[in-house]
Formats: sequence, C-alpha cells, structure tokens
Amino acid sequence: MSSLRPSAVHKGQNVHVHTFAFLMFLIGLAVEVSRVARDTFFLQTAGADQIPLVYILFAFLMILASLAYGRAARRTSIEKLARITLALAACVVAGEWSLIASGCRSEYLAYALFCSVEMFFIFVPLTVWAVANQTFKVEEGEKFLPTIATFGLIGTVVGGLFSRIATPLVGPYNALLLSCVAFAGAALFTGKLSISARSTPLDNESGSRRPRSPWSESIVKTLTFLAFPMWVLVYMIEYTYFVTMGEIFTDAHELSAFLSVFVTVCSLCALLVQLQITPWLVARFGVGATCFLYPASLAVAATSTLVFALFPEGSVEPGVISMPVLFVLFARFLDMALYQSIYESTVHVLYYAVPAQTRTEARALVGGIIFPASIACSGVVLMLFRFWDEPTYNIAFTSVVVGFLVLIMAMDIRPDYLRSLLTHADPRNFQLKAALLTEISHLSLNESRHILLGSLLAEDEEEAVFAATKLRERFDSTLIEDLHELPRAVRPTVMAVLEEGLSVENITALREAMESKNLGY
Amino acid sequence: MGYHAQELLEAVLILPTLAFLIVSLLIGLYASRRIQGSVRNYFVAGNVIPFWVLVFSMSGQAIELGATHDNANLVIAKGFWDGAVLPIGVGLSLILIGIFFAKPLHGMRLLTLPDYYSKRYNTTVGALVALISTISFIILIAGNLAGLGMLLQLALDIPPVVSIPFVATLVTIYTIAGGLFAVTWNDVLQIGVSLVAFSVGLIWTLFHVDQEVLNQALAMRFSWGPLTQFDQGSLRVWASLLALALGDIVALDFMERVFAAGSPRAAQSSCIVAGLVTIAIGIALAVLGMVATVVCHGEANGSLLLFVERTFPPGLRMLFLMGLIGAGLSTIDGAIMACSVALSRNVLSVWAPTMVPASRLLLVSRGMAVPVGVIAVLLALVFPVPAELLVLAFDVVFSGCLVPLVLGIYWPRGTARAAVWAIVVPSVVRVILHFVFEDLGLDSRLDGLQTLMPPILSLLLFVGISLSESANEDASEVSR
Repeated sequence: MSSLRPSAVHKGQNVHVHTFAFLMFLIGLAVEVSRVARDTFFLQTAGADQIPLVYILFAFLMILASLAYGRAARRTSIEKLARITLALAACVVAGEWSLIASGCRSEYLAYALFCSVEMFFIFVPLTVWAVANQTFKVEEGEKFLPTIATFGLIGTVVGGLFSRIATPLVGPYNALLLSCVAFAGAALFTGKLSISARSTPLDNESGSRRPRSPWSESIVKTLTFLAFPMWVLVYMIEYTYFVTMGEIFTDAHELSAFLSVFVTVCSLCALLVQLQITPWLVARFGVGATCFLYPASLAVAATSTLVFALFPEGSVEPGVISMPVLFVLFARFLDMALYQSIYESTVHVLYYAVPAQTRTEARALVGGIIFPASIACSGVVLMLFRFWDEPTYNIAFTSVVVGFLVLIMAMDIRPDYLRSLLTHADPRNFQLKAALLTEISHLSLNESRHILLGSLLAEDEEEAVFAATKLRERFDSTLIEDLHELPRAVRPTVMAVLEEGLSVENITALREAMESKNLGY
Repeated sequence: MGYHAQELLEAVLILPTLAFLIVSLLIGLYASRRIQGSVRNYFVAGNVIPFWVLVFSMSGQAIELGATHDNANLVIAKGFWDGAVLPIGVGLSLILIGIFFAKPLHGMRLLTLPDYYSKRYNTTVGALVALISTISFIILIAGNLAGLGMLLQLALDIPPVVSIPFVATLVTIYTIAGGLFAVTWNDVLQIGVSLVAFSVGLIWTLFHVDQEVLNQALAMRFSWGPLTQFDQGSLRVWASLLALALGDIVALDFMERVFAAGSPRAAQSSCIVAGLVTIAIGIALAVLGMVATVVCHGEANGSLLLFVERTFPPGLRMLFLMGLIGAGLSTIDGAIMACSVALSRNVLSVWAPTMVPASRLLLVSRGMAVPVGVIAVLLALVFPVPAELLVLAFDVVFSGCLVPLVLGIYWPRGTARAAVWAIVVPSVVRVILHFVFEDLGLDSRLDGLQTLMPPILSLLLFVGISLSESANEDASEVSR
C-alpha cells in the first residue's frame, strides 16, 4: 500500500509535514537521551538483577496507564491529548532529574525512572502518530508518513550522539535536562497543529469496508498472537544485554558513554535500513515477507545470546568488550536496528488491510493488554529462573526455543495479510485492490492458489467472487483437482464466475467436482 | 547404548527439555489453523512449503539418532566409514531425489508416495508399497523413541517406560492437529537446535583438543581401506551405502516433503541442499566420534555421551543433548505422519472404501496416527535396540520398491504385474537371506551381498516380466 520511501514535500503541504517531522525529531531525541540516562541510572543504582522485577512493575503500571489513556482519549481531542502527554513527559522527567541532581540514589527512583521513560517511549509516539493519521488524507499520509518517521530516527541518532558528547562534560544523568526541553518543545509545537480543517482523515478511508471483531481478522489474530512471544523474547534479550553491560562497565560515565554510542550506531543503521533497504524489500518481496524479517532476526539474536552463554564463566571481564560480548551486542543490535526500520514500518502497512475501527481495537489490544502481559511474563520467567538458580545457558536456550516459535508464527503474516486483503476486497477501494494484486504477484502459483481456494468458501460473497476471478485467470487442469478437494461446494454465483470463458469440457469437469460435494447452497 | 551416567549433565536439564517439548506442542497446535478441513493441507501442507523450511524439514528427517548418536558410536567401536556411511548414504539419497525425482514427482501433485505407484500401475501396487514402507517406518519410529527414552533418562532421570509414551503422545497430538504443517514447522525448531548444537560442538572440539589428539584420532579411526579393500569388508560398507543412498529414494517422509514444496524448483534445490547438510553434520559427528576414540581410549564403554561428559563445558553439554533430542523428535513426527497418511489413503481407502470415503479421509488419517504411535511405543519398550531390525526393514524397501519407482518414471514399458512381482519376490528373498545368510557358510568378506542381490533380482523380474507382457500384447495385436 505504502511505498515506505520518503517523498518530496511540495508547497502547501510544507507546514504540516515540517511540523510533524520536527516533532518526531524532538521526540526521537528526547526518548533516546532519556533512555540512555535511565539505563545507566538503573544499572548503577538498582543493578541488573532487579530487571525482572522492574519488568513486572512496568507491566502493571502500563495496564493502569493504558486504562487512563483510553479514558482520556475518549474525553478529549487527540491533539490535546498529545499536548498533555508531552507536557507530562517533560514534567515527570524534570522532576526525576531534579531528584537525581540533588543526590538521590534511591532504588525507588531507579524504578520510577525506568517505568516512566519506558511509558513515554510508548505513549508519546503513539499519540503523535494518531494526530498525524488524523491530519493527513490517505494519499498524503502514504506519501509523507515515511518522511516523518525518518526524522524520528534521525532524532534518535542525534540523541545518542548528544548523550555520548554530554556525558563526559555534564555527567551521565544531566542529559535528562535536554530530554525535558525536547518534550516541552514538542508540546509547544503540537499546539501549532490544526486538524479541524481536514475532511477525510487517514483513519476514515473511502470504500465500504465493514468493521469486524479483531479476532475475525486473520492478520490481526496473527500479529496479536505473535506479539506475545515476540515481546517476551525481546525483553529476555534486553535482560542479557543489561546484565552483561552491568558486569563490564562499573563506572556510570563509562556505562553511559558506551550505551549512547551503541544506541547511535543502532539508530544510524536503522535509518539506513529504513531509507534504503526496507523500500527495496517491500517492492521485491511484498509487505508480508518483509515484516517476517524482524521475527526471523530475533531467532538469530536469541541464538547469538546462546552462543554467548556457552562461553565459560569469567569470559566477561570488567572494562573489556571481549569476543563473547560481541554476540550479546549483535543480538541487541538486531533487535534495535530492525524493530523500527522494518517491523514498525511494515506492521503499520499490514494493519491497513483491515477497517479503521478494527485496526484501532487491535492496536489497543496489543498495546494495552498483550504488550504489558508479555513484559510481565518475561519478568516472571526471569524471576523464576533466578529462583531456581538456572544457569545463563538454560535461560539462553529457552530464548532460542521461543525465538524459533516466533519465527514459525511469523510465517503466517504473509498469507494472513493476503486473506485480510481478500476479505475486504471491495472493488471500489482501489488502493486496497492494488495492494492485494501486488501481494498476490509476490506469491508462487501454489501459494496464491492455496489462499484463494480458502476464500472461495468465504461467507462474504464479494471475497469469494474476487477469489474465483483470480483463480480463473490462472486456470489449469490442477485447479479442477483442487476444487475436488474442497470440503464443500461453492455458491452458484461463484461457480458462474469460475465457469466464465472456460471450455465445455472444463465446465463439465468443474460441475462434476462440485456435484461430488453433494452439499451446495 | 552402554554408557550409564546419571551425572552426565551436571546442569539442571528440566527447563530446556520442557521448553523444547512444550514449544514443539505449541507449534503443532498453532499449525492446526492452516488445515481448514482440507486433505491436501493435512497431507502435503497445501503444497506451499517454501525452500528454506524444506531444507530444515528434509534435514530433520535425514538427521535422526542413527545418523548422529549411532554414527559416532559406530566410529568409536569400528571406524570412520562404519559410522559415517549412515549420514552419507541418507544425504546422497536426498541429492539423488533432488537431481532425478523431485521435479517429475512434484509435477504429479501427489499426496503420498504410494499414490505414484497407484497412478502408474494400480492400487494394489500402491497398497503393497504403503504396507512395506509403513512397517519399516514404524521400526524407525521405535528406534528413535528408544534412543530418546535413553537420552531423557540421562537428562531428567525419567525411566523410558514413562518418557517414551509421554514423548510419543505429545508428538502424536501435534501431528494429528497440524498435519504436515505441524511437522515441517517443528522441524525448523528441532533440527535448528540440532544444527546449532552439532556445529558448535565440532567447532569447540577442534579449538580445544590438542593437534596431537586429532592426529591420533585420524590414525586410529580413519582409513580408506574399508572403501577400497575387499579384505577389510568393503562390500559391506558399499552395500550399506547403496542401500541407504538408493533405498531412501523410496522414503515416504522425504517424498511427502517433495510433494509439499511450493514449486518444483524449491523441491529440487531443497533436496540437494538438505542432502549436503546431512552429509556435513554426519561427518561432523563422525569426527567427534574419532576424537572420542582417543579421549575415551581404554574405557570399556566408550561412547559419544561419555566424550561429551568428559570434555564439553556444562552449557555445551546441555545444548548437545538437546540437539540429539531434536534429531530424534524431528524424525519421529515425520515418520508418524508418513505412516498414518499412507495407511489411510493407500491401504484402508483401497481395501475398505466404504469405511473410508473421500469425505472421511482426513478424519481417518488423523485417527491412524494413534495406532501407529502405539505400536511404535510398544516396540520401543519391548525391543529397545532394533538397529539390526531397522537395517532389515529398510533393506526390504530397497529390495522391492526402488526399481518400480525408477523405471516407472524413466521406462514407459513397465507393467503393474511386473511391479507386483518385482516388489514381492525380492522383499521375501531379503527377509529369508537375513535369517539364513550366516548359515550358508560364505566368506565373511561377502557380507553385504544379501543387501545388494535382491534389488538386482527386482530389476531382472521387472524388466523381464514387463518385456514379456508387452511382447504378448504385441503378438495379440498382430493376431487381431
């Protein structure tokens, strides 16, 4: 649907695009600076062994915050909500910085900083993207959202670089001040946005697509099922990364400097992937296949942590990035560099296969329930591992097994995306139809036929007719065999479409295939 | 297996083993979404399996406990070629399938390998092949279950009488639920872990063992003699190699994956790559066996597991054991799947068509996995080391089923009657030879002849009967 490649901005669209680009830049910068300071503070004050506990606490707070956020979203405009969220982020981070600056080194503060920064990392971009979705028309959105996303990534690169430069000068935690300023600046800029003039926002695309329950949408179901083990795995990899970094860097300055450099490298690579590789992958293999790359890379990342864990104890020395540590860094790099550049950008497009209302419900489900549940689950699992005194390699092996599960579950993304597109195959919605045809063109004959045959029996007549049309276009003798294997007969209107333009012999064979079902409509 | 050591793996292995088994079950249950009541989806995963999954899946079928654990132990006990011949033979068979059979058979859109015999000859031939193959595969399942029982006893201290039925039940449940989707997807996990484990194991060994030990290992266990010297039993080694390389062409599980491929090209290339992977992993295990010979030199019960316990650090021990469990699991599920679909489609639906109409084929196929699993469990518990029986079972398939398949594709004059004779007579001869060969008083260097003779007999019977039949047909046409 979307090209995923940043586009040129023309006159007239300048103000909104530039404002959003600058907003995303500020947010990227603020989030990255605060995350480096937060990780350093948490590892120095609470220690890496407290990470499982903070995951559980964060999950609990996230559920409460999601409820509050949902309620606020219903009562106020999204634009105002964005302003409030950004202002709140600025105030909370400022408060936490002032406590740290006053010499407070409490574990409670470390927990508070960890949870608040992580929550702003989720809610701030979410809200600003929602404003963007309501500000741009469909065509504008497809054109400019990738550009805006790119500026967000540039913000993270600059944030990482800033942390690296600022740490030796002002200390590891004073960079939080810049984060406050950036959040506050973003809040001010949000006030300049006006979305009331727009008549066809992105979330109300044209066409007659009927909203359905998220669970009846195959792509939503797959992405939701996938989210749980995927987040569990991400947090298990993050845990290994933090524990290792905590062992290597005992000094806060060194830790902060390293984390900021690492984040900068990851963000820079993510930016390059987002600009150069993702658009090419989407054009070459389709959105579904491209999205699969991130879960696949997580399986590789988990294997990498296992290889690290196989090295004997004592192979991690303070102050030295030894060969075993490179495996952990590689794992974390895969997660950080490919999440935003590949997964986020493609999932954004995948969700457009379903109606706006279903999409919103699905995202709320993933963000409000699945995400916190998976973080809590990883926290509980990690705590149990500690309780049972499990060696690191057993934890890493469990990650590998979960990694393979994620990899296998992600194999459903492509066919389910196609199924969802087929389900909403409204001939009047040209964009959706174009996306459908593009995705089908990326599949082999067998793959596309496998999915189209399933749609022949769909409850929705339009979907079945569309599938019949596509199957007829690629008619050969094996199609009759396949129709023989359908569990029941297709409806007469679909049969009529299948028979169009076929020879008498083929029509007879087709009818025999359907009569053998002895069910019919 | 010989070696009995509760303390083999000092580390706690409950968590990795449970994680492995539970995730395997989850993958299988998740795969059930893709069946959607379709026989084609259940039997051959809707013909949509991509190249890379096929590589994992075919390697998973080929790399079983025989090609890994038994391979290394045979190297320790006898020599490199006695063990390495197992994975090399199986790997070669995959390469041969890829070069000569994958494309034409994939194009026929078959559901099972016996379907080919049914289409090319008649349903009786298909049923015969299905029965013979099923018997050999049940023995294969039993062998791998027995091996897994031993490994789980070491890992979790659970007796085989408990672990074997438990594993078989778990595997059967996910196979019934997700059909070939479940089996191939699980192969990605199971053989993925095995590949990582064996590769890391070999790399670690090569980096940590002295050059002197490696030289000693080469001197003690490697020689070209068993391949080239008749006196050193080359006939036996070549017979084993040919039996595996040619006999496994008729393997139900390999062919199921060929049919399941998304395209003929994917079927062909995945066979070749999986064959190479199998050979590489097999040689890696054989090298470990050679090194183990030196490390465990003088031990009465030297084995791969003893070597692992002696030399590997705890994490690698755990991973290596999981790799062996993965190798066993990946073969068991595929074999249960292959047997149940062949029995239901090519035996039951032919001999009792009223009992198994087309509309109930899926249900019956799922149901057949239960008796197949139960028989294999009983065999594994009652007769836990059926290595000799396994060799015989696959020799019978090699004896009877290969010639009608190959000539059926590449020689159009073969007839159904010729196929029946070419299957039945050599198979029976092979079984008789198994019991009487030693009593014939032949030179021990001729060991292996009992494997090589029946397929030649099959070829002669098939060609002879087919030619005589076509000559009769020609004569009757002329007289008409």
